[in-house]
Amino acid sequence: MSAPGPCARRLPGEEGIWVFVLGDMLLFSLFFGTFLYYRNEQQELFLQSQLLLNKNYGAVNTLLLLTSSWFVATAVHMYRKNNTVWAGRFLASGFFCGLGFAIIKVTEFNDKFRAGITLNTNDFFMYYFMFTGIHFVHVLIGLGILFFVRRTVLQTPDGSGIRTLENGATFWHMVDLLWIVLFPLIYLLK
Amino acid sequence: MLGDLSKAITLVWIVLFAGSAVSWFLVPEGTQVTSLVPGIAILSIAFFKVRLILLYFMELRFSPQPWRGIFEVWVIVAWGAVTYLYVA
Amino acid sequence: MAMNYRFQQLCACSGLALVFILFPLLILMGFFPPPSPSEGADAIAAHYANDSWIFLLGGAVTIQISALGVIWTAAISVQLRHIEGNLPPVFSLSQLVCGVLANSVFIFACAGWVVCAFRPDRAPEIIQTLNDWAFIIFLGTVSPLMGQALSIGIATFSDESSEPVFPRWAGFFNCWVAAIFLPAGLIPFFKSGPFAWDGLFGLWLPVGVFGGWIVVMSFLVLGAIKRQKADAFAALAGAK
Repeated sequence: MSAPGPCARRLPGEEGIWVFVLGDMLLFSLFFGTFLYYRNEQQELFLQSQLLLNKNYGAVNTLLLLTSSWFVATAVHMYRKNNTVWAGRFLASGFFCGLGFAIIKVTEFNDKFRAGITLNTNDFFMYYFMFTGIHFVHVLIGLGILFFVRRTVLQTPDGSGIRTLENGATFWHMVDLLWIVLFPLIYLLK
Repeated sequence: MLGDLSKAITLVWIVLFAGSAVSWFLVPEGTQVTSLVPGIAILSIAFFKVRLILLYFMELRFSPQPWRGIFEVWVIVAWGAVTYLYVA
Repeated sequence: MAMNYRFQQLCACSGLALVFILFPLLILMGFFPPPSPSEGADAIAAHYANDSWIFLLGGAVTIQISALGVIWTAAISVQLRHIEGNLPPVFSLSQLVCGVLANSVFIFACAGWVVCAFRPDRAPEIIQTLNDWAFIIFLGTVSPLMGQALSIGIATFSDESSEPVFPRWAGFFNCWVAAIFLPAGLIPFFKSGPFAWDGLFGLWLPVGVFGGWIVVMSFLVLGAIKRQKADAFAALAGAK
């Protein structure tokens, strides 16, 4: 596996994953815009409802995803340096951070349901559940991808799995990136 | 070039963490929106973090055009649209 | 042999025909966007009572274009068979079955439109019920479509030949299409807002992407057929 030259420019993974990432980011951009548009129409309702959200869960989740992204990005570097064992360990760490996110998310949704809050409670909660829910589905898919990618990495110590690894990492970073906007938008913005 | 990246991403993580902390403390108490400034700051920090992730974790900084350009444009347009809608 | 390829091309084009018939029909019937799910029974009944012939025509034709949809699905499955080669036909079969299921919606849901317009002097509640039936199923049955798109996507990723049947980006495109269809599955929970059957994520985005997906896949299949036909005839000429 040859290392890129000092000024070589290379897109990680393959073009197709970036097509997907761009498409998904555009979809979420529509989510962001839609949320703000309807928020402007019912600002007081949105502010009141926002108080019922658990910002702490959201903040911990943000840190979990940021850290998991760091683990995954570092894993890619390890693999490029032919350090397959550590690449596998870092990918596993990233996976467990993501799993932590999922567990907290489920707990958070459960808390809401027990308090009688569902996606039909009001418009704010409709957007809250729909957008963080769809993001959650992305997290779950990402966990599956990380699991699969880690297996590929461990089976290809010769570095031939780099494209698969970079594809998976790119998807996971996108999941992190989307939450970075979603969290302040829904939980913090007043 | 990519070798420096592995040290850079740790620094980036620290910056991302710091950005999250700053946003956290910028949130006003209660529901009264006295000023739009904290909100704009929070949104701007968010998109700044997004750009860092794109450039360093996702390695767009070392990627060819048009890909880097496409995402840089998205960051600017999305940040602009979101800020505009928030302020409007 | 030429007949086989010609029929494949016909099947691939039937997808394009479906799009170019369905969308004008939807517009003609005033269903793009459809009447809001929060509208009252009387308003819905009035919708069907005015110019009921449009709904009879639109509904009747929509029921029949299900056939166009399934033979289009067959054309795609033939290509997935090429990707599978001698391996078990899991992708082509799952795509085929999902496609049949997805196109059955045209029969079972859209029949609601015809029935509503067939006797417009029915009680408004009955008409509203059939209208709800039609739209919830028509726009909310997303899992077969997702199954189709994901079968194509994963099959494309598994294509390791030197001349892949579909380009790699098509695999990612199909995955993205499946993601766009997903929110429409939540239509039953909303009577208003962007996730309802007249909303941005319930109607416009999935239906728009559906049309675009059919057009893109049709052209990809036609391109693949062209290559395969050329290869087959060249092989025949070479063997002589």
